[in-house]
Amino acid sequence: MTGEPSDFDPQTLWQSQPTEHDPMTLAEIHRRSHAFEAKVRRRNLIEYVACGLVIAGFTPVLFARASWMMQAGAGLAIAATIFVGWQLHVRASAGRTPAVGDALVDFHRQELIRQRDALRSVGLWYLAPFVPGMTLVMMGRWFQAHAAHRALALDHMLILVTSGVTVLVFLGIWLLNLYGAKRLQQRIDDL
Amino acid sequence: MGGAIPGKSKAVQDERYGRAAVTFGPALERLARAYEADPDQRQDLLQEIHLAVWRSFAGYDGRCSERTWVYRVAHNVATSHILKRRRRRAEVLLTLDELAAHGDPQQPSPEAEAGDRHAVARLTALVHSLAPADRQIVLLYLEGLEAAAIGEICGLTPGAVATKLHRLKAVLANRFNRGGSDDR
Repeated sequence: MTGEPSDFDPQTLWQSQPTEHDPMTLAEIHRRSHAFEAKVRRRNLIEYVACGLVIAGFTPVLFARASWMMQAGAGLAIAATIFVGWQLHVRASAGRTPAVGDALVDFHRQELIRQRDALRSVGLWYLAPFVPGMTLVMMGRWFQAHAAHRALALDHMLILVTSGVTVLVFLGIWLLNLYGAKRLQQRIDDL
Repeated sequence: MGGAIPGKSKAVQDERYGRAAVTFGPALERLARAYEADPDQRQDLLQEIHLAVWRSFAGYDGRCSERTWVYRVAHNVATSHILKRRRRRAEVLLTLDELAAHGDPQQPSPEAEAGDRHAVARLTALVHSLAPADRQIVLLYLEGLEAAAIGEICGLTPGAVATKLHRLKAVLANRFNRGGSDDR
């Protein structure tokens, strides 16, 4: 120890720290608030554009008369995209006004529970809606709409590989989110 | 909370924030220092806290004092900051009970080593090692708040706070007054 007083007072010591920053001016606060809102609008716009691209990708399939299964699948995939876009909007809006004035114990627990539930429910609202549409599109390709310029066996192989990769990606996203939710649950239990 | 109170204008929100920034500005800066060691990220956190305080006053309903409200907002924002950071890099944070029982198992940081010469740096290093729930109580105590006020901010009974503070004082005495077995 190097010269600390025996009547050490942590409160005085702590509060005696020099300040390095001036408080933010109101103009700066307003500017940052506007910047934050613009950032949220940009993020929302990107999500809506992504949804629009997915819908644009499935729309030609919806009107092609080659396979009713693929048409139905495309319709369901478009409906799933609209549903997921709406869910993103609802969830982002809800998260924009966290109850930061709540008592600390409540906020900390609620924050962890909110994050856990978001991860736990990804399979339900983000992945599951696409399953019926994607399944029908793949079934349509398999049973009703072979590529004319390709051998049947090769075409089936391509469909199987594409389906397999899609299933693995969906499964991977789902399991990663469940793992994250499990870790958060452990921290909630520790509180 | 959430939406603005009917009849309350943005001017009232600005006025409340202005008052809070002057009154609690230094305390908020110390709070940011206690939650984030990196100077750049600390400044970002401090600005995030100020912005959150200003935004929160749109939903302030007067059911608690402005001091309680500001401390709640600031600690909640800082705790969210820690939670986000812990998702990116693993950190071992301790409770006061663990600190009292076993000392700090982490390797001494440059800040902590410098703390042999500067008690404030050592105190800051100790606060950095604490889990959020205990860190909040310790910081409010260091800011000079009474157990009842700390309990109101944290949502704990004064008795629970008093128990924690008793543990904290033992840890501080061990580290600072007697040189402490875990002194570096």
